Amino acid sequence: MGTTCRALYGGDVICPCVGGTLVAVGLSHKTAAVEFRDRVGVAERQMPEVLREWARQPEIGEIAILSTCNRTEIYALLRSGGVDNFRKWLGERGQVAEADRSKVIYAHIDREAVHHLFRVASGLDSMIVGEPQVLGQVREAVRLGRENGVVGRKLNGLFDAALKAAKRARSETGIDRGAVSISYAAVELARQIFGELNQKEVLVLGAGKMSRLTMDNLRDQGATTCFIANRSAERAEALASEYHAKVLPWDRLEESLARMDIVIASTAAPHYVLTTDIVREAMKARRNRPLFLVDIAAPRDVAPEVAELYNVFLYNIDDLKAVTEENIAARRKEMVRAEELLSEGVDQFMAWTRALEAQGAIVQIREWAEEQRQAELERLIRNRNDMTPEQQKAVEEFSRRLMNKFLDRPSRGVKSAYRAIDNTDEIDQPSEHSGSWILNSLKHFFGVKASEKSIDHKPTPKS
Amino acid sequence: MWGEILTSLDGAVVLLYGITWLGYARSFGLGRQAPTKSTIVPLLTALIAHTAVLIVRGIHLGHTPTIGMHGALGFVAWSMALCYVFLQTHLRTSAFGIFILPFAVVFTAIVWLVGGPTDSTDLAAKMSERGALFALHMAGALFSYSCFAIAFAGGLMYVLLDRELHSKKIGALTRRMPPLAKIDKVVTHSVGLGLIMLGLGMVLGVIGLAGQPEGWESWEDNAKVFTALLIWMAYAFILFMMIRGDWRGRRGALGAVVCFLMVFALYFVVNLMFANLHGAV
Repeated sequence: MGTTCRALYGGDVICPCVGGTLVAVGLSHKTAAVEFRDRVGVAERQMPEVLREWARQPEIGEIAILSTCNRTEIYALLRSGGVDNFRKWLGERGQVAEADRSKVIYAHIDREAVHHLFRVASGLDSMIVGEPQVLGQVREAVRLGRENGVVGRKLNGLFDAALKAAKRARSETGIDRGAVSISYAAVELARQIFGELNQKEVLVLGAGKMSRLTMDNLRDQGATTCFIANRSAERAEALASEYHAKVLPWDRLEESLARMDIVIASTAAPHYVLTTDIVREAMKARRNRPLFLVDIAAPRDVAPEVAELYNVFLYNIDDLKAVTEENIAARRKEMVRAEELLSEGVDQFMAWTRALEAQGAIVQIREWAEEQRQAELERLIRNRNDMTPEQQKAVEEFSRRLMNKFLDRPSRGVKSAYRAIDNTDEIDQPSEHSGSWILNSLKHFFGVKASEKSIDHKPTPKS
Repeated sequence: MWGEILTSLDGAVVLLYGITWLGYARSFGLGRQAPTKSTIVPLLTALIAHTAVLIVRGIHLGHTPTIGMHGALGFVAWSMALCYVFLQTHLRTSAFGIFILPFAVVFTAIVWLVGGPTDSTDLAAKMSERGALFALHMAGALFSYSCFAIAFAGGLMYVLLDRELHSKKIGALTRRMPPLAKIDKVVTHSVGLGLIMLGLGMVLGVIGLAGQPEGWESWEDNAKVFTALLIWMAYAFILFMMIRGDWRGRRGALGAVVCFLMVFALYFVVNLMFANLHGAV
């Protein structure tokens, strides 16, 4: 049952990860330029074919591929062999020069592979720390693997554990807290002021790209009533129909300001569109209900003195940029806590795999003993043909009991040996009496080998 | 023996509120906006335990446990916790707990440290003679103080968040706070409910005094009556300004903070030092 990890570790050693070796091989924004990443990326429609092709290789037990714009990574359970095939495939696909492959393509094995997936799923390995999309992408990768029958119990367990750990890291630390894009920072501020946005009225002045993006984000957060005001009525009409908004005639801007809650200004006007007097009048009319002004125009659309007015919250593009930078810094600080949580998750997963493997080893020992018992029993009955059915039954019962008694201690030994393999256990040179050493001895005594009878059956790829 | 039992029960209540507050502090630290099991369960446990302690004390003393500083603080803490349970259920936000629950902890801690009466006092006996109307008068007035304390906590939260939003330095505090609109709603509603309850308490007090001729002779120079009236008028002014719009937001929140500090000062200075049982002493 033990996998010879010569190819992985560079020595003829028994890896404690019996039943297969988990590997993560890939390239990401940290190691590869965008052109490599683009070439290596596997589109969703290609994924079933690629997965099934890999699953046909005898050395591969299970496989899943995570492919996003920032990374392409292969997660596999290897029964034998090393990661060279994966390296070669990624290198050729990305047209990475052979000399550069070791720099561009990384490989993680066992605990490191598990840890890597946990970091990826929680967004710690992302370009923007804590970005939420990667969680869905990891979920999608394992879904595709399951659908194509190439993900079995171990990878399923790994991805489930990674998703669980990522969710925990996100909920118990601030790694995904605080907007990191300017448009979303404006939305988050709006939510901090108003709470629910579904009853709020949004006005977009001008037709800048950023203001449209902000309006889109506000809509996503529930803002239903959006107006567009532009000096060019045609442009306003076109944008309004594109974004399902209403047109506010430019000449009615001042009188309508009182009913707006959020104003995003991004006109190309060379002077202030919203002066202190205009906003003051609007605030009087709206009886000081809070007004959130987002000025992302250059030159500015809103007079800076407007910020002094009671219950007016004015943010310009520099303020929003400062907010996002602060949020990014805060996320980085939270990374330390998130790493601790992930380590706990990795430990739990490794313990689970060890328990799983212990179960497999015990099954093998018992199967071997049962075979011996049956053979001896048959020989006895054959040689002593004067045995009555009652005597045969008694002997069979006796042999079973004896076998169970004999196997009780080795079974417990296997379980405790697996438990004793801690995360610092040396793989290539297990010290005497360490978990790996005991395990290797037991496996040696009972002749336990890597076999298809292990608890980890290779899933059958769907045609 | 009863003294020891009641003191132990008071101590247990302090401990439960303390644990509850720690749960809220953890939740706040983790940035959880919505209440979770770790905050709801301890809060409900503390409230139920406190209710049970008040009932036990009431049965043992033979009157409502709201008399004297001990009773008043205990009842204010209890009604604050009760209000907060409703507030949390309605607003689905746990951040208020971090600001409101310290009152419950401090008030119950004072109750525990000072140690309440183990037997009914003369004052209590005199008060309980006045019947249910008087009990309601007391409960109404004390409940209003709980509302004002919640308005104070909300006001403080509003001022802090408003300052951060205006300074454009969005820090950890901002990310953990509920929206300004929600806090404003809590402040406005707490002030409104407090006014109704204080008004009710005062009206019941007046009705109670009407039945006692000697009461009318002394109430005019009773500091408690004047301070209650002063407090009611101050809060009524704030609420009026908030509804009108002039004090919507920060000014109203500041008003709630200042007014509660006034209530606090007046409660200790006037109520405890100058008068105990007004209207019939």
